Amino acid sequence: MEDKELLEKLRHPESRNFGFNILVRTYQQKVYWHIRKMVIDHDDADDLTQEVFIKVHKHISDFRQDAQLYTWIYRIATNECLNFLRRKKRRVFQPIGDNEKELAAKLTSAPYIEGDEVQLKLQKALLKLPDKQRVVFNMRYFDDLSYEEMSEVTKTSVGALKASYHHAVKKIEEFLLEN
Amino acid sequence: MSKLEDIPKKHIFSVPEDYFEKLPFRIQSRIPESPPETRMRPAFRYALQLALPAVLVAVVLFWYTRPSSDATTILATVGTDELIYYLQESGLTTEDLMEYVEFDHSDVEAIESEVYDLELPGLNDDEIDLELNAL
Repeated sequence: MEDKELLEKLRHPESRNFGFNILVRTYQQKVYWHIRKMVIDHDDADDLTQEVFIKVHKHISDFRQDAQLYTWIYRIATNECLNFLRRKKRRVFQPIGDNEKELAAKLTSAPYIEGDEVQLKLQKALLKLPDKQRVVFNMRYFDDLSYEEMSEVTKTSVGALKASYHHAVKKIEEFLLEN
Repeated sequence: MSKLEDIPKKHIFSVPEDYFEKLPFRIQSRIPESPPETRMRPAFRYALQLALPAVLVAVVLFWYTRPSSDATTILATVGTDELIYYLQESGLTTEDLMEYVEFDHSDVEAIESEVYDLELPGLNDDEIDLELNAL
């Protein structure tokens, strides 16, 4: 179903539930995997994915059709992730850097993670990046988003995103070389 | 292996069985029954915030300045000279008028005080007595 048709269904009370169900089924995987790569843990990703769609439902009337629906949803998901990670870092008695260690530990101990040594090393290298740079890297490297789409999601210039991505690749390769 | 391009692009994460089959139902169950709040676009909201006080002021001004239609208010707009002229021309006598007017005690007192406290500029009491005696 096209986004336009989907939005039309969401606007009418009699078809809103049906439209929302289609929207969730269409975008749930993209949203979940985007979040999962950021928070690593399945339970956290599950909670955040639900929160994202509840926010989408609540604010769908604010959506302006000059943007693409999925970049708007991606943006909400990205904000949810970054806020979640920020809240975790602000936890009382949490020493600086422990959040990265906690996420790295989950890579080897949490359920629903299946990767070989090289893949796990890449994930550990990603955890060394600042969260915003990790979002940029994931969108480009894993999700194959164009810089223009990424610009729409992050409200950052294409030039800045290109610089951020190339800098991230450089840091990852340095980590891989050292380890 | 130190180059990113040498690493095969693979997703290492997985989900429980049927996770994506059940997720829409779990999300739907958390959505409130009532329809989402229809929110105004910010531009409309700001315009309304600015326009509302102006509309209220306009309504208040209209209310207090609107022409009243009751007889007392209409009569009040007619000048005393015009009233006197009308009464003279209508042929009504004082007796006729008195039939329609009911004076209470306070009206009588007001009329008396108006008559007895009447000051005639340029005349003192002695001059008035002289004038009256001359009649």
